[in-house]
Amino acid sequence: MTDAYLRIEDLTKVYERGQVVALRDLSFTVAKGEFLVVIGLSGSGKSTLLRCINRLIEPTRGKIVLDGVEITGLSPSRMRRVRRRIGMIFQQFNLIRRSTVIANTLTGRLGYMPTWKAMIGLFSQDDRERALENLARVGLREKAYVRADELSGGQQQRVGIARALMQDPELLLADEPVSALDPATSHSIMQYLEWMNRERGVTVLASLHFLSLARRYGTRIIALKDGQLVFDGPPKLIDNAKFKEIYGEDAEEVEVR
Amino acid sequence: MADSSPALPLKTRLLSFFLDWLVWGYVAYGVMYLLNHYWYTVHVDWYGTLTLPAWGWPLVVAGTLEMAALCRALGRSLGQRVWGLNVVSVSGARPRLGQRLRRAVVWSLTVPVQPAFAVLRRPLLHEVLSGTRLVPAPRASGTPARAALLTQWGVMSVFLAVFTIWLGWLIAEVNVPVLFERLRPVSTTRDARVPALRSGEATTLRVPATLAEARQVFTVTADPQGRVAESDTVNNTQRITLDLNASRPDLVIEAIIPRSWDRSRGLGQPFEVEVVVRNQGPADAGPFMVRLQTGETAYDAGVSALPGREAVSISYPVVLTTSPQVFTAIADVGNEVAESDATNNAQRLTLDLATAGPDLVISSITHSPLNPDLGRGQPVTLTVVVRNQGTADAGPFVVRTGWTETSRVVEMWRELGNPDFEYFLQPDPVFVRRGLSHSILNLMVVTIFMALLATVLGALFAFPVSFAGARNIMGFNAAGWAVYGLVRGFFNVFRSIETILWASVFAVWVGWGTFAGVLALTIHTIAALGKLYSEQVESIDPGPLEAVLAVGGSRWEVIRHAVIPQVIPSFWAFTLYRWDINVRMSTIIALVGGGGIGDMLFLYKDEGMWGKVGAVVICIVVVVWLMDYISGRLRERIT
Amino acid sequence: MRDYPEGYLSERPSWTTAAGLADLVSAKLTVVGRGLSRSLLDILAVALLWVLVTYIYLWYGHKIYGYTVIPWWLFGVLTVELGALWGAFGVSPAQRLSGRRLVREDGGSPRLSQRVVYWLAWHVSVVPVLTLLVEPPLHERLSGLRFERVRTTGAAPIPWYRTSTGLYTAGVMVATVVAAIGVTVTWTNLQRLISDAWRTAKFWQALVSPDTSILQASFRDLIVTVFMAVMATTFSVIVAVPLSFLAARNLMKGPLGRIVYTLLRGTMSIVRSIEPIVWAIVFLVWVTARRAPFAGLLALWVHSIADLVKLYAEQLESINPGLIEAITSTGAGRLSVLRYAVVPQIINPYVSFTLYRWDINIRMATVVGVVGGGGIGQRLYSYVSGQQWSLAGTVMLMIVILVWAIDYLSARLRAKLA
Repeated sequence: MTDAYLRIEDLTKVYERGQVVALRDLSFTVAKGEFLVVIGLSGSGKSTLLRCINRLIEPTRGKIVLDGVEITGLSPSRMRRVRRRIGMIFQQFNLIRRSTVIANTLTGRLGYMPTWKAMIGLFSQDDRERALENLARVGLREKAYVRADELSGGQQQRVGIARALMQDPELLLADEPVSALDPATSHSIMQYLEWMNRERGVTVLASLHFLSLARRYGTRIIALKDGQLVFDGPPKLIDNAKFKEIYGEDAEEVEVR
Repeated sequence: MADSSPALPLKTRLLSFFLDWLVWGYVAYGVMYLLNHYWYTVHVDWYGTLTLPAWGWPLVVAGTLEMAALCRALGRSLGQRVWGLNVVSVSGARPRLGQRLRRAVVWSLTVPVQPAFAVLRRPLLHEVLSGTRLVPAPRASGTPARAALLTQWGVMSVFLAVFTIWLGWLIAEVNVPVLFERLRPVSTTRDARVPALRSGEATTLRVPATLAEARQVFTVTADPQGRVAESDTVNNTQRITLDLNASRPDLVIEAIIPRSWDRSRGLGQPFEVEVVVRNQGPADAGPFMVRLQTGETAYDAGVSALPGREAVSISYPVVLTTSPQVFTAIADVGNEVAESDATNNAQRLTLDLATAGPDLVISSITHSPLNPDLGRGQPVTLTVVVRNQGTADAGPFVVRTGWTETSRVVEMWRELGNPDFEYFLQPDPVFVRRGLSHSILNLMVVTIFMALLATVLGALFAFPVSFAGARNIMGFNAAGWAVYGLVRGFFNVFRSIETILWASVFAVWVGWGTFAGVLALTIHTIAALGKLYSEQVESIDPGPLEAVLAVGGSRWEVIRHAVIPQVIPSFWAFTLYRWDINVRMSTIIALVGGGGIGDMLFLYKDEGMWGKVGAVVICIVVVVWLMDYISGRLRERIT
Repeated sequence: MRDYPEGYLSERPSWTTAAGLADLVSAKLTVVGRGLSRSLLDILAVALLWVLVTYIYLWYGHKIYGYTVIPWWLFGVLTVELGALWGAFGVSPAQRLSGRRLVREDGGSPRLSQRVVYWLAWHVSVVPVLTLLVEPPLHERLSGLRFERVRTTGAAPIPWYRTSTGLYTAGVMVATVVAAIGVTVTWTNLQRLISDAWRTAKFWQALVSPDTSILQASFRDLIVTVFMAVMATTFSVIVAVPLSFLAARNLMKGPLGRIVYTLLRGTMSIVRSIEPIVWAIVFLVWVTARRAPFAGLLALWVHSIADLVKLYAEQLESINPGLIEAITSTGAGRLSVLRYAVVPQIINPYVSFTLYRWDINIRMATVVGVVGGGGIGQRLYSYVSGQQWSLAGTVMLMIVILVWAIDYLSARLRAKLA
């Protein structure tokens, strides 16, 4: 492993005036080019962790250092400059449902545009071509002018990927990208992520529900339980005992094909 | 000629055309209105006029038709956009300009014979000759949509919006400056003419005025236009302050008279100046000093007391040192008397050796007694004495009396902000005289009861009737449909007539009072609730219906066991919602004789007692807000 | 997970931090509030019944308005006492509403002696409010009783007429309706309803056979009415859209935001509870009756703003926050997030609400005319007050057609938008 690309130190997040602790003194590092999968039960803090990294959620305490820059203390405007190199895809896709696919894709360029241009929707010709290119990459070139809510779930998630691609990301955060999809579509989406990781050199942090998917795609896995790190290592090291520790005694492993 | 495009129903074609025609008809109306407003008429009546010469109407009809046709042929018009239609050439491509023009021209020439083609279901002539078709537009998917502002319908929409606002601005007489103008104080002036005033003489004028406020300043100016060539033009104004609640003295200098003074004796001559001090207020003034000042020298004299309306004369020996020389007399220099107006105590006299001239001053202003019971707005007569203290006669001039009232709007808001809860518990005597015990609390309770009774009665009537207005219950045979149509028609017509209009009808029918209000609310409630109930019945899940029918239930059993259980929760919600509306409505229904709290509200408003209006409005707000909250909470619990 | 290690932000006890203190106070207030509101609700229920009964008695017996036959202070004492008795010995409305009953610590049904102790202790515990700060409150401790959520599984529910609350509710409902009838309906009025029906015959007749002589003039008034509504709606949208962002709870965070939110929502709900007619009265004085349509327009404008701000803000509060996250994560600025994440979600509901409000404004514009607010309503009211029934009927017919047409149009458009 090369030196740390992303370093997280003592990250703590407490919600609702101390009532709920989502992350508890979490520390780990991620090397450049890794495909890191975060697993854990619902409510174990996976989503909070990902959102703390691009500061959609303000951490209560702790340090996040990305590529040598400590992002926990950045001003909002500088944070925006950091964010535009961090792509993110979501469980519920979070597309503008009434807009066309290409309009959704183009929003990925918003971080690179002056505000006034963004306000009147003045995307450059270059951006439009790139959007079509990225849509072609995820196999949606012919759907470019269709409204987003007319697409199937898998197609919507591919639009989400195209949107993230528009950002030229160095880091991709995927928050349960396949939880709302059926198994076959899940694999296609995961393959797009794998492609980004391998071909584009994008460091990927994906949170997943299914261990089988994590084993298949991750180069490294970390597991969270009650906001604490309970496992950190390569996929093959997760044996049955470890699995029970992460998911509880009653859990059974399910295979996603 | 075979038509490859999907068939377009004639109805859609006509409807979309009528929309376009309507748009141009509207534009024509607006243009006429604007022409009338800006050009033809000097004084515009509030509705403008639609007067046209005999040949005007056909011209307008033809013109609008032609515009509509042109728009439809040359681009995508609003009507085509709304119904999703598009003009394409037979091959399916975008039509060329020539084709579009041909389409418009042929259409215009063949309008009279079009119906025949339509009836015979033949391809329309203009479509055949231009090689174009009007077809349902395919959903754009492969191509980027053009920006709306680059299309005809987009431009048209923007134009219509702007046009409407322009027209509406004129028709609704929007006048924003007036909102601010009405906040400014209002000045009133009364002029009295004096034909002539000889030197040293005085004349008395009676000026009718209004006491607009509890404490008001009247300013009287002699010769405001400057018609008289006076030796001193800055001493023409005097003021008086009338205070309804306080009776105070008010000292003024009535006259400054130079005695044994002779122009021929020149500078250095000793003479006497007589100063007359008047207390123009109704109350007595205590001891005070009167000063006569000229240049650096000042002479003081004391007055031990001066009763109300009385005058005292003081003589000062002085020497004329310059020419012209100004003598200023000031009453109460030490400010020892608590006057109603302390700023009107000085007067001046200018003596000029070189020229003789008139010099008009207002000697005194007295007023007729004020009646505190009449309050503000009572008439008051001012008696103004004008004197010519100069050395020459004055020609005709005007004496102007002016006063300033606070804007009625400001006053209204101020009083609304100081609510007067005098009659919250205690009945207002105005109503007691009519044998009614109307306090705010009593009427508020009555108002709530009115709303309640109307809601209960309305719901009781609407509940059974609503089943007759539901398609899925009645749509079994012709008689059922007839009943359905009748009931729905009743709901729609009666719902469109607002409660307050119903109340005005019932007020004549059963007499003014709460019962008329209840009836009005009930009728509107029946219609409104009936419609909501019916729609709810129509939207039920047909499964249980079929289940009951399947076991051999009659129509009544279907309603009892399959429909009612499904609709009851939403019926409750609608009823509570309606109760909420009825409470709001019942507060104002008294305007047309419906009874309730509005009785007090509108009486006080008519009397201009805004403080009491404010109290009633606050009570209404509290009750309406409370009922809103309760019904909202209850609805939340139900659904 | 309340047991997070001592002092999650700093190593201090929780009550020394502002947030911790706020938690403490709010928790205490909740407890106090719950106990107090339960007692208050019972007292209010007793008071309501009392007032209604005396109201009916005085109205029917003596034809006067009255609320208590006894002095107000005695009334206060008695209702408080009766409320306490009800809460201790029966199932009071508050207990029923909250779905809780008094039970023994072991879950059994309370003994009479315990109820008496509870009732007596209630006086020293609830009447001086401060003692409620003790949790559980004094009267519950002393009597060994507590409030427990009732579980109805298995047991057949008691019919409503055998519960005190059911009887109370039915009693209040009947009494209210009786009082309402007593106050609003008089025998003479009822007789006139039958005997004077002929007075309005011409009015009904005109609804089917309109008087054509006034059609053109009325039509002009109708145009004024429509434009009043259109302008009022347009202007109110201009004001309400920016205000709605300030009145949305999810967008207004922080103490300052909270203040603005609360103030704005409060003002709007006050303005909304005042009918447009009352506003029209105010504006008629303001811009004078010479500009009646403008006054009517302003009245509708003010009321529409309040209504639209509420509707808009509620829509804003229900938007999907995921899209905001998505756009924010691309590095977009605050304005861009608004433009690409918020606006697309609200634009259609906003247009839909505006159309709905326009529909209402058309109705209201006819009503506002009654006070002299211009348009067709003014004409109608002048005919009605002059008892020119056939003319009034004609105008009414025109209003019905207009309102119906606009209603239909706006419903169709809204259905298309949804």
